[in-house]
Amino acid sequence: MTVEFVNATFPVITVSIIIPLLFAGVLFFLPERHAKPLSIIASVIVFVISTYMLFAYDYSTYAIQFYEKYNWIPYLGVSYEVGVDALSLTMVWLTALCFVVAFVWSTNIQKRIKEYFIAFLVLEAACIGVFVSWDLVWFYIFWEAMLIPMFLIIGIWGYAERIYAATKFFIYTFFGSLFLLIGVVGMYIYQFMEKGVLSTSYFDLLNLGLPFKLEVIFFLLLALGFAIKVPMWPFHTWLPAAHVQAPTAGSVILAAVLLKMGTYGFVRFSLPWFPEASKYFVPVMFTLGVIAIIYTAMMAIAQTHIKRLIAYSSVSHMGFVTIGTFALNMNGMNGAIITMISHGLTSAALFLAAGYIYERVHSYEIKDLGGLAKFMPVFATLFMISAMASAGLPGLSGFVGEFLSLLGTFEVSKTTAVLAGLSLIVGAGYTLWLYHKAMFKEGELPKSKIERWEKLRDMNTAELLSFLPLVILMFVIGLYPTWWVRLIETTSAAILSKFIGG
Amino acid sequence: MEYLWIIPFSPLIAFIIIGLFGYKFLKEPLSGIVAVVAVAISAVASVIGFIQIATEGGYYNLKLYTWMPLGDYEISVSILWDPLSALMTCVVTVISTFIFIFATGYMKGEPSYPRFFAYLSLFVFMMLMLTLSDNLIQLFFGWEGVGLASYLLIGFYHHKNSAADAAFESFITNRVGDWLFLTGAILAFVTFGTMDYLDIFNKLPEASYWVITAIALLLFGGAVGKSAQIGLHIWLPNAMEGPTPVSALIHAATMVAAGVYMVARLMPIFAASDIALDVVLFVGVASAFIAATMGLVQNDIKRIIAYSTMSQLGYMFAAEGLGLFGEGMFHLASHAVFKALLFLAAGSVLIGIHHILNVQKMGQLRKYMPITAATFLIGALALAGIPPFAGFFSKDPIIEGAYEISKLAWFFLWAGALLTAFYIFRLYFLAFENGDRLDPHVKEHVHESPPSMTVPLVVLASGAVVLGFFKEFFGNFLKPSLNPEYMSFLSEETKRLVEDGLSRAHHVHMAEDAWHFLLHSLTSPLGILSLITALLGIFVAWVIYQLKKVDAKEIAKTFRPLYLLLYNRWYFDFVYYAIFVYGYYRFSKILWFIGDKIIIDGIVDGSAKVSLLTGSGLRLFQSGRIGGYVAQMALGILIFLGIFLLFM
Repeated sequence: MTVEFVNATFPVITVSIIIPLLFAGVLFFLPERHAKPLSIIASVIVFVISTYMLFAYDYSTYAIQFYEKYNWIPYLGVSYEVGVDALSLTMVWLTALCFVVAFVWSTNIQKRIKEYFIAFLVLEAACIGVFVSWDLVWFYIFWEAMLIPMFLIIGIWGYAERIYAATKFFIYTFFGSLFLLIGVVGMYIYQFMEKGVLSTSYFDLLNLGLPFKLEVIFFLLLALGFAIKVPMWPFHTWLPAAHVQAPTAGSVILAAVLLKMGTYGFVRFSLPWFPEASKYFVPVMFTLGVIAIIYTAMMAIAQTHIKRLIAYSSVSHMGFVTIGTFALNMNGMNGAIITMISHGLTSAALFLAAGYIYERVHSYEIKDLGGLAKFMPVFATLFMISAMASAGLPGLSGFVGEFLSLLGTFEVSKTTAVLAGLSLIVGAGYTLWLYHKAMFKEGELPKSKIERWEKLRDMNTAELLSFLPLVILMFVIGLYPTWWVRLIETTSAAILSKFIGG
Repeated sequence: MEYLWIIPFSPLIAFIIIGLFGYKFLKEPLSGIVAVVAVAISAVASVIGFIQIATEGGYYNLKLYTWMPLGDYEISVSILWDPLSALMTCVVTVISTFIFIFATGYMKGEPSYPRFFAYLSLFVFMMLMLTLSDNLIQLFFGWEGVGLASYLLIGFYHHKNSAADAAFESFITNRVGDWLFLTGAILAFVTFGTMDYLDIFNKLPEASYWVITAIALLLFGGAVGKSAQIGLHIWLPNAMEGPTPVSALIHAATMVAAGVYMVARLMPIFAASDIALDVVLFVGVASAFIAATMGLVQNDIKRIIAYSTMSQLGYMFAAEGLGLFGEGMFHLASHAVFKALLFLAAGSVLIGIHHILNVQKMGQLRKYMPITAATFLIGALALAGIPPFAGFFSKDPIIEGAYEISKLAWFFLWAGALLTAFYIFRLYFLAFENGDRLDPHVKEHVHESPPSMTVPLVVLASGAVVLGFFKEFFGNFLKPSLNPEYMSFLSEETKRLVEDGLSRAHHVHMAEDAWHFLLHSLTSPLGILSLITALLGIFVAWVIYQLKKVDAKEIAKTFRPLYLLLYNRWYFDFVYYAIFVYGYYRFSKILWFIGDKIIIDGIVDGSAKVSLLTGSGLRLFQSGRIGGYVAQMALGILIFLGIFLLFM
């Protein structure tokens, strides 16, 4: 596979990595009151840039666009190399969007405001960096760099058991990254021994022609790193712990952006680098995907804590990405990518909703809630739309991705698709169960409590501003997926070129 | 025919307007008026379209926009306007109009008045997307959309626990059907490379019999859920928690009939597989009979009618399974009219007696509510199949047709008809006639409902009287959609396939014209038998509940096991809840505890502890002696190289 490059006339990508860092640096020297507005400004600038890229991106043929490359350590073959294809681009755009949402929501944060926003700004730069880097050293730097602010966000601004959760999150994902590192270093050495070339560029590692045995080994090493990040069953237990303890904005970023890195890794690296091994592991991945979908859906309904429920639902949705990816055909791949985008929107919205509820009722326990819809109609409506999008109602974003993933999978394995389709039932089960318990049913709640809720206010402007864009986008994707499919299909075809020819 | 797009989008616009401005600006009654006007516009447009297609013939296929490309095929949002969809659309919009008008009166003073009309409009939009679709995915969109609207409306009084539970139950049960349906749609796409009905029909001869059977059965699974047929029916009676206009519109006249419509819409697929037709017949007959038995002993006025709906839908499916698609659709239309009438009359009763649902606590209501009583009686006669009311002309052909094709099916349909006549008149006598069981406090306030409610009742009642006489017109009108000989969009090969499939109904000869059918029924033994059956049902109800010659309680005592079986709805709810609700929930809890907490987290946290221990052990290696470090480094390099050489 040869890849075309379209050089950037203006280094937009580098700028969008630097801006959050720059603002974080400036913020360091400014008084606390500037933290909120400056952070919002920074994230909005990045979002505007990424939206510009989204529309300026030429999806008629596959090429790495807005491409920049500068030598860095020539004798080791390391360079600074960034650019986007549609997969990277949609992920960057999703990242930029979610950070705007997270910052707008965070206007009500009280504790260590400056440090909070600096941590998030650094996190934003690292997240974008992961998705745009084509040099493995930079990729790995960003990949690891993102752990530190996230560790701090959970560990400082989290809830009661934040230290345990933060440590578990850090060590678990770090453990995975080490295997990733070993894998990449191994390939680097192999490249040197076989071809005498030293390069950390993605594109050089693309056509190594690895023997099957090595492909399998490297696939497994990388897969472990990615699988923990996704997270795939059975590596998922860090996620509920982290989500439960993380502050709302942290959960939003964790679910909407960080989880995507795992699936991004599979799509970006595992498939093109190890085509034979990928084919070999299809049954395993399908099995793990189906287990993720069904088993974690059951986990979700067993929960009493809203955020833990939503965390499990994330694992379940990522199962669709897994099976869609490893269907190794166009529908499956398109489905996987659209599910990634859609899950970013819905999980962000659901975690925001959990945050709103906590702000008002001061509890995440489902049994303490009930009948809230009566007092907050606007919130109830937006929450309902998000829940339905998450449950895969046609016309909203969730259905598009799930449908395509199922279709792609069905072409390969009918059993897998039929079992994964059960998510229609169990997925609706836990999502509506949550909504049912929290928003509709008054259940056995004491009257006095419900009367107190009559004074609850509905959404304020900041809350509305952070929620509404997500909901609108759920409709945009759900009602007109053509645009998105057109955007990503050349990229999907390129990623799958070793499987379907062309 | 470009104007047809107005039909679905007018209610959508109403939904958006009421949704955004309902509480702040429109409030009561303006929200209701907006909804009524919007749906009336749809009704007018669809009647015009109906007339146009009735006079000009042919069919129209409008593509509005491409929803999503799938390789070479494009799923589009579109309108297919042929006699079948025209009839269904007219039924939906016209009945909706009357029910909307009724609801402006019924919901008077309700704090969430705008929300109610927003949901109703949303429902109509979704329902029209379903009926007008020309492909499986748009159908599925509407299919799930009406499910959502139904969920929201059942749970309209969502702070009430029972309403919230019923809504949840209905959505999940429907989702079971939807899962099968979506799988069927995907299988159809993988097989035929398209989701458009007309293309699928013409590619049918290419596919194997078993694949077609699988597709048909999976799609039918969706219909079982949506139309509350036996197996996935438990949600419908509980759905009566919704406001009564909702029960009338969604859970009687239109949405639940979507399954029947879908099977008719995809008739060639079903006709191409006799196993599929047999399954449809079996499920239809079983539902028709079992639901009628469940209806016998209920005391909740709305639930009795709900079981009757389930039973009548069973008749429609039975007709389709017999190959009598036209008869099935005609019964759908006539049922929509008289069942909407029955529900609205029940709603009028509930307003009059302040929402007492138990029929044992009613009585003599005819004195206070003459219009409601008269219209209810007409609906009941129609349901029982007494000529000249609509139900007679639509239901009896199905029963008679069954006699020609399958004696067993005929027997259960016939028995169901007997039970139907009995339970609906049991309800009528208990509620409107004999017995002075009304609470004295309630009695003081009982009143006839306002004109906004009685006028729709009267109109629907007139419909239930005259509609039957249009039997021949409907039969001929539907031919271009349901009779392969006249279906211009089918290829010759498909036509032959479909004709073979429908051959089971070929020797059924019934008078198409209503007068002749009536005459035939009054002279042939079979016709007289069904008539006597219906009258017998009414007579027994009259003896027990009006004359009280026999004590109902005594009968219940004598046949206690049977009574309990029926009263507990054949224990379906009990078993389902035990397995799929409590069982699933408890199993999930246990699995969470064992799978995630003990096993997986045990390993994860356990390995953390192990590494802590090893860490304190490994500390010994950090001795600070350079020589030690060099040795360790060399060892590391050796191991690494060793691994490499092993795989080279």
